[in-house]
Amino acid sequence: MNPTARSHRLSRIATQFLTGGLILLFLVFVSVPLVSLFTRVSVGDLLYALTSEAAIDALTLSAITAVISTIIVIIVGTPLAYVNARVPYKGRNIVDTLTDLPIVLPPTVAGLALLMAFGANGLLGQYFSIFGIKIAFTTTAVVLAQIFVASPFYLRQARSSFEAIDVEYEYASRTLGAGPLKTLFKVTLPLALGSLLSGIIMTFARALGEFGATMMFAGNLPGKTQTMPLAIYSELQSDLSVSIALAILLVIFSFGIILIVKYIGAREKKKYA
Amino acid sequence: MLEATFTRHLRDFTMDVDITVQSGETLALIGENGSGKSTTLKILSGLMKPESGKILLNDQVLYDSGTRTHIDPEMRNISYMFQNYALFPHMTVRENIAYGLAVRKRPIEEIKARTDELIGRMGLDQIADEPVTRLSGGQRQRTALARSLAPRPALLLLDEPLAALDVKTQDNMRRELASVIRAENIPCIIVTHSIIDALSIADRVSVIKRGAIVATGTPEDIIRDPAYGFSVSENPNLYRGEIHIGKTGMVCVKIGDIYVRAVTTLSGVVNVEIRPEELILSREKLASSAINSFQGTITEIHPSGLETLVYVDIGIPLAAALTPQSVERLSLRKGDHIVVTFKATAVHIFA
Repeated sequence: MNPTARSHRLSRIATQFLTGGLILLFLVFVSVPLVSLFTRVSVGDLLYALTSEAAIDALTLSAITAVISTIIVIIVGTPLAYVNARVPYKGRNIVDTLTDLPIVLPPTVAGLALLMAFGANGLLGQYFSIFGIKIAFTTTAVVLAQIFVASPFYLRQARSSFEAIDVEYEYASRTLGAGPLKTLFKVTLPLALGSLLSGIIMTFARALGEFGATMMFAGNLPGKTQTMPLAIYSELQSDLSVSIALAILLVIFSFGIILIVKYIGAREKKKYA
Repeated sequence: MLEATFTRHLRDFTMDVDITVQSGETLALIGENGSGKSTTLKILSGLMKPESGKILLNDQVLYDSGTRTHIDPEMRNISYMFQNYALFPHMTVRENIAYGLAVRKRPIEEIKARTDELIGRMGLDQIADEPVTRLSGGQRQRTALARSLAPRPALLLLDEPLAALDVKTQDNMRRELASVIRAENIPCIIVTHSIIDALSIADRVSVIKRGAIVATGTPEDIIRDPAYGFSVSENPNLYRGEIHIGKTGMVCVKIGDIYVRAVTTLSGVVNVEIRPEELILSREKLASSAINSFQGTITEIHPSGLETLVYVDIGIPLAAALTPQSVERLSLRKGDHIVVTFKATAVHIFA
């Protein structure tokens, strides 16, 4: 073997080892913390902790608020996403940027902004106060914080799923006698459904995990505004096993969500190919 | 009967269209890509708004800029068959065909009867309950046509109905399409860039160029008109001919005063296409297997890109596509006497 070929071979092996090592390192880095959650408590402790009042309250509140905020996002977000996908109006880019903003905005900033808007002395909150309506530090605030932070996940996905549908399907439906609304329900939505579902699931998951904005804007009141992520934080000081039990629940749930979204994505790709 | 005049500014030119189609008449709108063919269909169907004009269908006003009338597409009862058919991919063949009746909330028995009738007529029985994503090109075309006809439209618009099919399927579908349209007895506009489609299917042809109708006439007139015929045709060698059966079973087609040998099962008056790239030009008569051989005079030599079209008068005008090298090698000049040779299979006969 000549020296050049030999050094080529060596450098190739070195590259492979380096790449493999980096991948392994990263996998270890991600999985060790997750695994250590599971090793800290026994199954018995886990189940016991989950039946504690704090855990049940947090679970119930999280489930209810995340469902409500997801439904609101769907109702308000679907028409917006559809218009942005189909109608080339002036300022569409600005609207798009605005609706995407919460993804990169630190949640504490979102919380502070909500507080400035809907707090008792806030821009809008002061008028609500006149009628005795209080929003900050209530369950309503939890929902608002979740909508603010989670809506981009649905809006982005919905827009791209509408864009992926050839407008000629809608044209065909119109010329065959279906009005715009009928066309939406009989053609556009059924074709977009799988893709929209991914967006809905991601939005729900993000709402469920909301912490920073909720903390700032809704506070940390058990049974009222203390959702699962907040309970995990609070119970760290009093009962670590409750904290871990809730954390494990969220890990399993999130894992399932990713699997489902991946499955839907793969199925959609095959469906109309 | 459709009577439409409208204008609309597009990016490159202004559409200024005037179209009349009688009941039972099929008009072919023919023109190059980007000449405004599809835009015309979109405006007639209501998917796009013109800027001024008036559109009347059976005396009902669909659009009138004077009275600011614009009827929505779903209220016009105009069926539009798209170039790629736009069959709903989440529905079966039957559901697609029934769609127009179902959204109009017609009684279930009527929907079923009409859908079954069209499924039978189009020969879709075997695949009626298949999702449309599993169909072949020809089956898609039939399904799309059935879906367009199901609501008994007052006007049928077809955008390049055969363009999505392979050449072999096109030949069959062309004849089928013509007979189905004729049976419906409604006005029909078919957009195409193929003169062959126009010849087989249409009663009248309108040539559209940069948004304006520049000529209207019978298909034969349009082909013969040197100003428009060739500019919109992919093949200059298109003729009307009459079939004569020879003794040997081989067919003779009488075109003008000459007889050309061909292979076909058709009879009577037909359309004839002679492929320019299959013609051989020579100084002397060739001893070859090709059965058609004619003496003629070169009337014009027209270089166009990689090939040169040499026009020869053999009793009918005939264009041969040659490489520039061949033209040079034979040192062809205008006015030269030349022999044209081609096989019977170079002659394409269609109804």
